[in-house]
Amino acid sequence: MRRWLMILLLASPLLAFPVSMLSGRVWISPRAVGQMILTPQEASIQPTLQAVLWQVRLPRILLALLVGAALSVSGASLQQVCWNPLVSPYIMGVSAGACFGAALAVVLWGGGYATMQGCAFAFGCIAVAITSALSQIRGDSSPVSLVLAGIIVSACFGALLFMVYLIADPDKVAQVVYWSMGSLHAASWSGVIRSFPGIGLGVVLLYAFRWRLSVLSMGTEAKALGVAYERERILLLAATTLVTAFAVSVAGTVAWVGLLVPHLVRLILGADSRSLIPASITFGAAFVLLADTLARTVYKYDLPVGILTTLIGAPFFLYLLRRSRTAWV
Amino acid sequence: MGLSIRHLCYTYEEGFSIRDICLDALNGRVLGIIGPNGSGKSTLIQCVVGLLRPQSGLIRIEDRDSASMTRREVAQRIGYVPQNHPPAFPFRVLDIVLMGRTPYLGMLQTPSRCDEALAEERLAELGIRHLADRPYTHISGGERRLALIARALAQQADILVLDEPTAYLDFRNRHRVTQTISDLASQGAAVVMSLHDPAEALECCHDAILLSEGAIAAAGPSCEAVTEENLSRAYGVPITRVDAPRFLVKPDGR
Repeated sequence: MRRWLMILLLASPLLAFPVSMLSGRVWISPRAVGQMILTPQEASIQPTLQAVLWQVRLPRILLALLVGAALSVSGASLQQVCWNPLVSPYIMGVSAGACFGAALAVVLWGGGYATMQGCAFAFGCIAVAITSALSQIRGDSSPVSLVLAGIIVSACFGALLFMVYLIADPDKVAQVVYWSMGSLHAASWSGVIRSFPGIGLGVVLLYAFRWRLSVLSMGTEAKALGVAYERERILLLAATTLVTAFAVSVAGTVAWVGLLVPHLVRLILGADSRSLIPASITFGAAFVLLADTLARTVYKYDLPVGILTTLIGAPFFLYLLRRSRTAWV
Repeated sequence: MGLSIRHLCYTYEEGFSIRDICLDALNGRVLGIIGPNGSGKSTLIQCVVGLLRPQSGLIRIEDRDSASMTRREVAQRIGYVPQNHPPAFPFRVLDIVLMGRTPYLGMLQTPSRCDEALAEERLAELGIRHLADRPYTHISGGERRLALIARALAQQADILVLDEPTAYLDFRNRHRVTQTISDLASQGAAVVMSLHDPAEALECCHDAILLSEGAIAAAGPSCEAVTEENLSRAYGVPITRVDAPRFLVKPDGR
């Protein structure tokens, strides 16, 4: 049973992909889609449909998959590294830091991918460092103090982000605000190509360390099990920040995915990182893809996907907090 | 061989310290560490297993200076059983035991079928094979302690360090734990454990160390170290030895 559920989660992007390919304001029949993918040179295909599929739909789908995988794996890993089921890149303030960094790059330097990603990563790292330091002010960091520290850091970077809106060129403000809400509407092939290396590297690294992530979730006790605790933690925190920063640079803050997906996977498959990490990667990709498909079809405008994931994720967090009273504290 | 500590000192930022601790844990023997709450038992144990880095002193593990060893090398030689604490996530009991194989895995390796078989064997040895697939967070305190001992055994270390392994256990589980510990010692392991109850040091330890305010108050064969006089001094209240009614599991009962 568990085996089949695992296979289902691993294959979920393959199930979500055709659904998303066929959804959209422009109807393209499955046959036409098949034709365009298999024989794109065929003359009988309408060029507009061709453009919709290749230049709009496909890059957006790939980007949704990348962003979903990035946010989910970084959430799952952060929870293990901090031995804290309540954290995610969003809750620890990493997303807010990265979002501020990327917005700053847009306003100050016009925002090429590289500067946005660099700034997002730098401020993401700063956010993680401040959050961890704050949570330890009163001795050992408890699950709740880490969450509180994350709220403080998120709030500060949120305020700084508003400052960036104020100093931004009026032409650009709307664009930056829309992006920061967590949206994939500006997806393009260059976005896919520029995001892939960072997200790919981080995801592969976190997957490679999956057993260590299990052991690290035992807390400092991991030292007695032969883990080079400090070094490995810093490496893995850096990897989670890297994938978050790249995801934020291209899609803004798609909130709550990093909390929701790992918990759903844990409920289904259990805590072992050997299944948690790969299943979070694939199921997270499918989840954001489906959410974005909904976001671009459900209303007459494109909705930012971040709004949908928040509307699903926030109540779920409440549910976790209720559970945590008996199970975790 | 075994474990030997000379002039170990550790000071916390808040000021409490353990000072000038010397001890030898020999293969085939059980060493008990006793003392009042806050006398430094846990601190000493955490220094031994590498959770705390002592400011001065020498820890020799199987005739090598532990300061020159990696965490991995230490973990291959010392198995550690922490005090009870539930982990943040509902791992299966088997996964917890498998974590004891980590010192033998490369950084990017995951446990093999072989490791899994070994972990199951350890569970069977402790009579908790049936718990393998249960979530660690949903078993009783005594079962958890046994699972942690199974994890330490999976480390295949010659030295075992246990932090209050018998605390809060009922008869059956306490007996199982102490029996396992003495079996391991008779198979040649060097065992160091902290104990809440000094009487247990007389019952199940060859040697004992009595700590008081971070320093050694008495040490030696347990019948010599654990005396009315020494205990009275360390605990700061007059203590007398009585043969009060006590219930124990029969020596051959499992």
